[in-house]
Amino acid sequence: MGNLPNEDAVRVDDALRLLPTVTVSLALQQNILASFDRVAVRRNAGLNGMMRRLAAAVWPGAPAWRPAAALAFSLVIGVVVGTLIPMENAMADGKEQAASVALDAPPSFDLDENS
Amino acid sequence: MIDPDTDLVARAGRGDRAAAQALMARHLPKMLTVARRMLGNQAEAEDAVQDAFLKLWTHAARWQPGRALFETWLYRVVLNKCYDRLRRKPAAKLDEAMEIADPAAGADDLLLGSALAKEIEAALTELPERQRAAIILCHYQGCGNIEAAEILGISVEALESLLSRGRRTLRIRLGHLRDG
Repeated sequence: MGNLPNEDAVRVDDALRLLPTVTVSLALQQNILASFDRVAVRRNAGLNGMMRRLAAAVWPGAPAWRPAAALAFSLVIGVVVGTLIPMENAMADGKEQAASVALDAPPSFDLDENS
Repeated sequence: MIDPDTDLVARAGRGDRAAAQALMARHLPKMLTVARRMLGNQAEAEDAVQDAFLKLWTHAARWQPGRALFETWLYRVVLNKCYDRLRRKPAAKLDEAMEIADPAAGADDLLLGSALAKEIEAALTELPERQRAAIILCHYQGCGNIEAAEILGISVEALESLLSRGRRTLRIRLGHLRDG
């Protein structure tokens, strides 16, 4: 065990420094970009692609779940308001109020002009 | 911690080719180097890296920042692709490392002494997978211990143990080069 751990580390550093540099070929870069294009074409095809484009138009830059969640949330709010509010109004005084307006009579306003 | 790649990944996920190109330019050299050193073969390394980038393109739209740095995730994907290839044909790897010339690195090999470089590469290729990955990440890619441990999905102590064993094996295996 004559070698200290640090000495081993320095030796490994020295050895690995002698390895040749790995170069990236143009063909590899082109292949990788071609795979990106294939994935992009596949993603934009079909119903999913249409939904994704629609989501991007409604809420640019956001992931698709965000506009979907906003729509679902507003739907829930609408259903809740639509079911709860009329019941509260109906239960407020328990009787219906009838209002009638005679369309052929002249309007009469009392704006306290005689007082 | 701010991930410098978050915006590029999100744009690539939306089909932005320029963002994909920028991501590739930023990470491809490092990823190819890791794969090359792990597999000891340029063609295999290029295939592994292509597979990793294909996985990146298909997952970019679902990428969630904040869980891990993008680069850490990509290193992990590349290493997993390398492990898959090593397990598929374990017997062939050393022969290929010794026999197949790397045309891209030919000039460097001549300068540094191709026999020496091949000896070192063969010693590296003989290390167990996890030790090799730890040595490559920490000694060749310049990753810190915390980052390397995160990439390998292990504790820092476990990483240090892998490094220690890997360094010792390499020292023994390459000892004659120093003496000679």
